[in-house]
Amino acid sequence: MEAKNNIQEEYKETGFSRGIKKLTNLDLLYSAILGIMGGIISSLIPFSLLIKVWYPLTGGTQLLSGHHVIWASIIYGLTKRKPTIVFTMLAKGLLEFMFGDLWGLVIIFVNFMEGALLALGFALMEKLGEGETKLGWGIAGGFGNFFQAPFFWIINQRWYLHWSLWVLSFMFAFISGIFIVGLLGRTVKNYLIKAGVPTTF
Amino acid sequence: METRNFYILIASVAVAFTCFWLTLYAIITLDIDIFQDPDTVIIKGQAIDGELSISLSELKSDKYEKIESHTFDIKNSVGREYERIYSGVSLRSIFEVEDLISGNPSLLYFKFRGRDGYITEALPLSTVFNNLYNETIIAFADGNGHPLFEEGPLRSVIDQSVMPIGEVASQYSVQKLAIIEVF
Repeated sequence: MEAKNNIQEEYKETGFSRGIKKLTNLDLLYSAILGIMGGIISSLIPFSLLIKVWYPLTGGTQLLSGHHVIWASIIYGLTKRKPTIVFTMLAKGLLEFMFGDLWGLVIIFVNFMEGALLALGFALMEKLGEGETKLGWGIAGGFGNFFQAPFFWIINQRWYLHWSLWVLSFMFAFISGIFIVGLLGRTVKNYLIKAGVPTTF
Repeated sequence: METRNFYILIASVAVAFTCFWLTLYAIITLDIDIFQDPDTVIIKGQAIDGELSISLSELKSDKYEKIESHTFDIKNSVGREYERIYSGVSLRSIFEVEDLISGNPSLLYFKFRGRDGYITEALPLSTVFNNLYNETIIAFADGNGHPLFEEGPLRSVIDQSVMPIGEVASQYSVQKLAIIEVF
C-alpha cells in the first residue's frame, strides 16, 4: 500500500487530466494548417466561376461561399473546441489580408465574425441535442456562413439593387453554409478521422 | 419515414421553391434578357431615339477611340483604393461617333445594367462628357490584352477621379455589362 502511494506521488496531475480544456499544441497546429489552406484557397481560387456560368443573377456566387468557412467546421470536428474555430478563421483572414484582399483589414473582421457565429451555431445545436447530427452541423454551418452576405451587401451600400436579389443572396449564403460548411465539412472530418488523423478530444 | 426527416424534406422543398420563383420573379421584374448575346452592349433610353446595339467586334474596330492598357484608380465602399489596368473603348467617343445625345448632357443621366441584374444608380452624363476620353470606358481586355472572362466579356470602368463626391467607382464598374441606359 505504501509502495503504491509512492508511485502515485511521482506523477503530477496535469491540466488535461483535471478536465481543464486548454488548447493543445496539436489544436493550434491544426488551426494553423487549416487556416493557411483556407486563406490560400479563398484568395487564389475563383470558385465563383462554377456558378457564374449557369446562374444568371448577381449574388448567385453566394451558393459557393461556404468554401470560405468549411475549414472552421473541419477543425471543430477534429478538436471539439470552439476557440480553435476562431483561431482558424483569424489565421485565414490574416492570410487573405496579406494576399492583398480588396477589403483590407475588414476581411479579418469578417473571418472572425464567421468563426464566432459558427461557434455559436455549434453551441446552440449542442444545447438542442443536435451537436453530432447532420441537421445540427448543417444549421450551425448556415449560421456561420450567413453573416458575410448581408455584411458585404450592406457595407457595399447596394440599396439600389432589387429586393429579390438581396433575399436570394442571403438565402444562398445560408444554403451554402448548410451544404458546404455543415454537411461537406462533417463528411471531410469523418474521412480525416477514418484515415487516421488524430483527434484531440 | 421518420417525422423529423419528413419535416427536413418539407423545409428543403419550400426553400427550393422559394429560390426558383424568386429567381424567376427577379428575371422578369428586372427585365433581364438571359438570351442577350454577351458580346453586345445596348445603348437605349428616353434620351435616345430607338436603341443602338454594338458588338464586341465593332468595339474592337477603329470606329471608336480605343483606350489601350490604361490604369484606373478604383475606390470601394470601405475606402480602399486600388488600381486596375484595362483596355477598351471610350464611352464618350461612342456617344459622339454615333451622335446619340441630342440634348444638353448636363441635364441627362445614365445607368449601367449588367446581364446579372446589377443596375447602378444614375450618374450625370456630364461625368462622361466633361472629362477625358480615357476615364470612362467599356472594357473588353485586361492589362495584358487578354479578354475579360469572369468579369466580362464587357464591363464598364470609371476612374475614381471623375466620380461625383460621395460616389465610389467600384459600384459603377459593372461586370457582364449588357445595357447603358440614358435618360
